Amino acid sequence: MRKLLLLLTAGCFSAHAQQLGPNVSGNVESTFQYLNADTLIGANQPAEKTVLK
Amino acid sequence: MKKLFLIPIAAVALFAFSPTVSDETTGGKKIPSVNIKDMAGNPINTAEVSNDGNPIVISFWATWCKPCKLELNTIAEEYDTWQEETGVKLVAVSVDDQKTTNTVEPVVNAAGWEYDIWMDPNGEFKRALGVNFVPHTFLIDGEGNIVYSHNNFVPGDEEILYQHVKEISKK
Amino acid sequence: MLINQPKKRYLNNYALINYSLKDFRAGVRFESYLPHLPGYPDRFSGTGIGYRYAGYYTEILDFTVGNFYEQFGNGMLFRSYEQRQLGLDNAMDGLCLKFRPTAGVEIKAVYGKMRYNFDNGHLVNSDGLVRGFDAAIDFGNFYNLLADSKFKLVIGGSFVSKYQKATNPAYIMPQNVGSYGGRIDMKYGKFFLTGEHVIKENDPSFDNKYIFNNGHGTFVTLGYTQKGLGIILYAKSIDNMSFRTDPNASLTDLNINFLPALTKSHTENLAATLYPYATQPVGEVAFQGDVFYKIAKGTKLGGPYGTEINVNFATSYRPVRHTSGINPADSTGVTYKTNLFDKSDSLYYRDFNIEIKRTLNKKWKVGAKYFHFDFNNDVNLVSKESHGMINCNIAVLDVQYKINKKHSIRAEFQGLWTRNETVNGVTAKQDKGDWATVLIEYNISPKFYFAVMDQYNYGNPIESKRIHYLIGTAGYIFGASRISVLYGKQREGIFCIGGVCRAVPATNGLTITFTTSF
Repeated sequence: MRKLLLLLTAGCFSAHAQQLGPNVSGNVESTFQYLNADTLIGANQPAEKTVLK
Repeated sequence: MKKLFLIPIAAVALFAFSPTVSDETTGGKKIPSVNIKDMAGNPINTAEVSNDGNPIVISFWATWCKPCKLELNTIAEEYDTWQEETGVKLVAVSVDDQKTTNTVEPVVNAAGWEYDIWMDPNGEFKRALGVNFVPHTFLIDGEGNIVYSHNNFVPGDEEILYQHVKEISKK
Repeated sequence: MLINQPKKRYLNNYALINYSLKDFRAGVRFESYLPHLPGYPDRFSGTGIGYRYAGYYTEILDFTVGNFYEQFGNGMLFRSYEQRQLGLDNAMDGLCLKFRPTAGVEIKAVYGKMRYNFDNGHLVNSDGLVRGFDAAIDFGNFYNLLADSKFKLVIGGSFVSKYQKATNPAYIMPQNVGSYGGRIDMKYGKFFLTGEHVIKENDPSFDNKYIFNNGHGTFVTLGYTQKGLGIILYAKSIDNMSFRTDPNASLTDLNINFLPALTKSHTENLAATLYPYATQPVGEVAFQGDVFYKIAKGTKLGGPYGTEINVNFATSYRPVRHTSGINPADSTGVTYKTNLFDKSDSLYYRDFNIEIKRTLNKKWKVGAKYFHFDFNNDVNLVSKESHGMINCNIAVLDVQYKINKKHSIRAEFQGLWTRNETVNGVTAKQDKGDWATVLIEYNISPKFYFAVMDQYNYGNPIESKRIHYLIGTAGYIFGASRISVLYGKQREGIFCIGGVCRAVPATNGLTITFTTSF
């Protein structure tokens, strides 16, 4: 796993250094929530998810 | 909670290393090679997309995505003019999964879109290009470099996209 | 451990990085749940690597080691995919090989375990092992056999097996569960016909209450498409097709296959989230018809830009289970027999909807939509307050106005009305009664959007529950990045993608999302 990471990091730098050849792509997604308890709508301590399948 | 602080650092590091950050024109970043199919079922290697040296727009969409269809419908109204003026070609990549893949062709034909349509039912091309949400649109110059990308669509965005198309058009 | 104090802050992060050099590709995805957002699987915790792969990809051969997503045919036997908004990720971890020896032929082989958990920053895979093989021939490209013909033909076949050491002391569990199927895809001019049939051998599980029946699934589509018109008819017959790497798993965990739901994916708030239909893997017979038509522009009816019409009808029934001549207590463990498309009168779901969209001029676009749902809440539980059939009508009006080159405004007005029902002499609206939703969106191209939405449960039979769920959103977009801030009340509901659903808890507060692609 470490080797893979090293390789990736190296890839990032070399992609920056030369215009042709290696390609880096990807994405980042972050979601932050700050929630209040609201008994009127039933927003209590969020429970374990229940999934309907 | 300490690790929380690593996230923005990691994000900044990614920005620093990545060739494409935002609208800025960049060089060198190419379309990755993924084997998918077009709407007619013909095999496509995404890296080999070409348009005789003219610009290419790659737009990720889905039949269930309202702003995506709004974008493609809006461009469709101007597409003849765009092609005449710049030689641009639009490739619309459907990320519909098996629940709706069969509706892609009827939706495209009913709308009368003249685009190339590619099918990416399991998101392989989408992941390779780092797309998180649809609609997501890329502009590729005659040498195959990604020069502009935009996530989301609201009316008016098509004109900004077209400005970028005109900038790189050789016509 | 019981926590009495509500946790208030939640944070999910994902960062995917792909690297490629010529034919070589590798990637990782970092994930963190500090802690996970409400509604996500409770076991997800910590920061670490949730997905990593390396591989070699050429025209002839694709070779992946590590995590991968793949699908055979319609996915009825095998589909591994990520649907982050559902908290669903059944990535394979092992080997994937794709071989294209000649044009028109593709052979795929997969081998590995399936992602189950992300515990304290570590990827946890299934105990069971999945092995699969799929081959398809496209005669349009295969030695140019049908190159100049209007007729196109693709045939394919798959084999998928699961291996897991028996874990249930009460039953003699099969260690290997085999499944196989064939598919055909035909096109002639403007017509197309596709079909897939799959069989899964006995697989006693929590889902099927540990019976030893074989499962089967059939999915057929017939379509016609030309410029301005598209017609598609779907039919699906499945029985006992839940297929997981662990037979005791439930919810959306460890699914090996994907059973597409035969319904339109509604996007309008009330239609999409109150009574959404999910596939019934235990068994259903379902049909759908979809018609797309565009009244040509420049005609009297079509107007200067044309008018789009879409009519959709979907329905699903319980299959007939024949039990005569079968002793459920005998050693075979087979408890009933089913036939293809043998439907009972027991309705699971019916959805009729019609949409008309028209561009009036350069400034105005309008759309109107009507839905009627008959929803069996006993089968597809979405409301704890209700029993049996819920019948409702929904109307939506969507108006968009382009103020100038950069500014535009969009408004959506929606109403949902349930039927009056008399139970024990008391007449009341079904379930939560009537709803109204107003959404107003203001966009400034290409950087900003603002929206306010109010969902008002004005017709709830219980007066104290006639609540306004008000939400405000603001977004900032820069190129391939977006920040959105959302504040307000979100009601408890069901969120579905592709017929797979997740219950979303009610929340009140702030949500900030950042996404970027590079």
